[in-house]
Amino acid sequence: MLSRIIKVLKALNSNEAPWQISLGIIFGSILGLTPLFSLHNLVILFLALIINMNISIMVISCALFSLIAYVLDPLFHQIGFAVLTSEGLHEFWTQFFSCPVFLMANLNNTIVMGSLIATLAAAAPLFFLFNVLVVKYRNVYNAFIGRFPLLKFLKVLDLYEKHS
Amino acid sequence: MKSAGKKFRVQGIAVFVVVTGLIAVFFVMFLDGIIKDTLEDQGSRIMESQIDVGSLSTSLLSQAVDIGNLQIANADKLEENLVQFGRIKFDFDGGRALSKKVIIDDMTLDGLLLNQKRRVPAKPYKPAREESEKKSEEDSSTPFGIPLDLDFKNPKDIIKNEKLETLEVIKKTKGDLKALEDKWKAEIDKNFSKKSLAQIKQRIKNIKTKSKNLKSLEAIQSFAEEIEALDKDIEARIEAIHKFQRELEADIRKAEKLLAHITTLPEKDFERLKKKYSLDLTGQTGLISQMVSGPLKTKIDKAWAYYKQISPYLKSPSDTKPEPKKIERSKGQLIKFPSPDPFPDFLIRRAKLSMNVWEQDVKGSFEGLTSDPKKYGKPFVLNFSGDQTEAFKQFSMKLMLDRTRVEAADFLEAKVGSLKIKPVPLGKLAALSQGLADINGTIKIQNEQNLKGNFTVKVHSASFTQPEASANEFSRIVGKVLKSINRFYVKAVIRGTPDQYTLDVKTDLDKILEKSISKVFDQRIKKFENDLHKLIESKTAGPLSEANHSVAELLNLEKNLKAEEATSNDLLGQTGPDTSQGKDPVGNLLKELLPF
Repeated sequence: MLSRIIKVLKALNSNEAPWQISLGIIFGSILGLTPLFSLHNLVILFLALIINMNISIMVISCALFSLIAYVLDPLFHQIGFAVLTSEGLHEFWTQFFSCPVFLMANLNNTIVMGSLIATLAAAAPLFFLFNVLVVKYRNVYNAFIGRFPLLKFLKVLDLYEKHS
Repeated sequence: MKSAGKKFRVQGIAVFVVVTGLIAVFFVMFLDGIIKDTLEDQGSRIMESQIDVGSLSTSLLSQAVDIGNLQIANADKLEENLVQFGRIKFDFDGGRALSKKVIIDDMTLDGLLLNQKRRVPAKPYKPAREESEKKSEEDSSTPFGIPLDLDFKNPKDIIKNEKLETLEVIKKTKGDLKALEDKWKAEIDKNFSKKSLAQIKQRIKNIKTKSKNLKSLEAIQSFAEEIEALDKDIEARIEAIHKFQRELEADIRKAEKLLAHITTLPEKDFERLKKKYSLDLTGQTGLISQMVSGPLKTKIDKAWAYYKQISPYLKSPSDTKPEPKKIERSKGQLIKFPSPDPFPDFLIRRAKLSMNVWEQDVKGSFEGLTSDPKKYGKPFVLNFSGDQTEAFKQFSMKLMLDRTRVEAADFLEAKVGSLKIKPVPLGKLAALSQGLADINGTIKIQNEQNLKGNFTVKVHSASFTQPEASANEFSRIVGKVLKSINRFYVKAVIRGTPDQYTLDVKTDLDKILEKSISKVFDQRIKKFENDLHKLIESKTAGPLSEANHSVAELLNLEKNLKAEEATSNDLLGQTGPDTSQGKDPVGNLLKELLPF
């Protein structure tokens, strides 16, 4: 666990682009908040592996969000139930679920649908929010390092070791 | 080292393929175990009884499943299996499985056994039933196990051990009557005492004495006022007597009613005890019919319970909008949508099965077992047939559960020809040691509510034996009569609803027994009943007469009041008006007493 936290800190302080870290958090939240053994999570895993994002951040994020998923289940059930039983969407869902893949993905389950909708809806604003937070964190961190020449030296040494 | 410049990593695809490949291999390798555990765990929870699977193997390539030794425990009797199968084999439609549909074209179920003893008792999955409830069911479910104590008990012992309702009621009524009697005695003593009467008489005497010394007009006026006051007092007394008479009369009517009621109670006690301890040879509730009815009713109740348990699974899903349910954590609720696919979610088109009936293998088949009969459009039909076995010459059973229309229509028909009867004990009386039975029966259930059914069992080549030489004369006679019988029938007719049905069982054995037994036992039954009647009468006569006495006392009080009324009227006559002539009472006495 400690090594994971160190990895997260390292990632935050590395030269990775903020979007790589934000995307890791977002993908982790989807994995953590929605039922893990679902077909859509296989798609998330596939995307996580081919997109050049931070996997460690995703794993930590998944673990953290899993802890609160249990508490949010009733809310996800309500969202899923409302969406799946909406009169206006009935025709759409009938067409949608005539495709076996979506049935296999268990999307007609209220918690799967509710949690997926909630996490996807929150994904875009959170992505930009985390981008801003990562940039702000780095500015604060660099300012802190800049005040101590020894730390600055160690950082340069670390970068040198990594690139040599 | 990750590079911020590159947006994609191609090697990720390889990692994904490896990871998903490993997951797939894991599932394929352990799929059988996963399904077996899920079936045992989830199935047991859904069925609320333990499900055991001996072995399970799947073949994804040939899309086949083979299950060995499947046992479903009886939730109410943990040491017994409700049903067990030796082997279940079927192929499934893999393409439709992706749409979460289980479509099985052909299935084979071998070694179907019902109510078999388990080696190890099952784990309970629902709260155990009350021990007393269980016991009563077991008692009644013992075939022909009704204990028959056919000796006439001594009426004295019966009275000693039984509570007589008459005595209980009389005890209470007597208390009420005594309280009433005491109340009236006290009231009458208080209001119409001898002392108060003597006072009135004294006042009349005084007035008469005074009349001789009237010398002035004032004295005459005072004298007239005195007479008037006396007159009023006597009239008030008479009025009070009338009021008391009315109230007492009402109480007497009530007491008489109570008395009338309690005098009928000894007869009721007698009827109750007669029903319990005497023999009913009227043929209305025959001995054998009674013995058969109990266990048969238990079996029917059990069958109803199974039927009610199965029924929800046979219904097509409702078209109405789903209602939100209270969900289990992380489980959610599945919302169904109409599918253009013509197949229901679950369907077994055809299945061959073999069942063990009376220790004989009987072949059968069923068709159209589905979760949505309306969509499938065909009813569930189950057939079993067998012939020329060691246990019977012919066996056939057809069960049809039709849920394709608005109203469910279910039908069961069973025929058994020349079934070899195993020894059947008939209580302490005798045992049907052998015989051949022809059984015919049909049951129709409309809309899961209206039940109509009739079964006929014709037994021929029957042979009865008496388990042991009984000292009881009744048992001996019954045994002797039964020994002479070699053919008889039992007919059962069922009508009603699952919760309330009537079971009418008739057999010619009862008629034969009634005829034979009544010859010998009529006199003894009459003597027993006569003795019991007399004993109840003697036991209740004393308390009844005491209650009677209380009512008599009330009647006496009524008489006393009448006498009181007569006396008061007499006194008023001495002072009061001559109503026949309409004269003033004061003037009347004055005229009588004054010299002018």
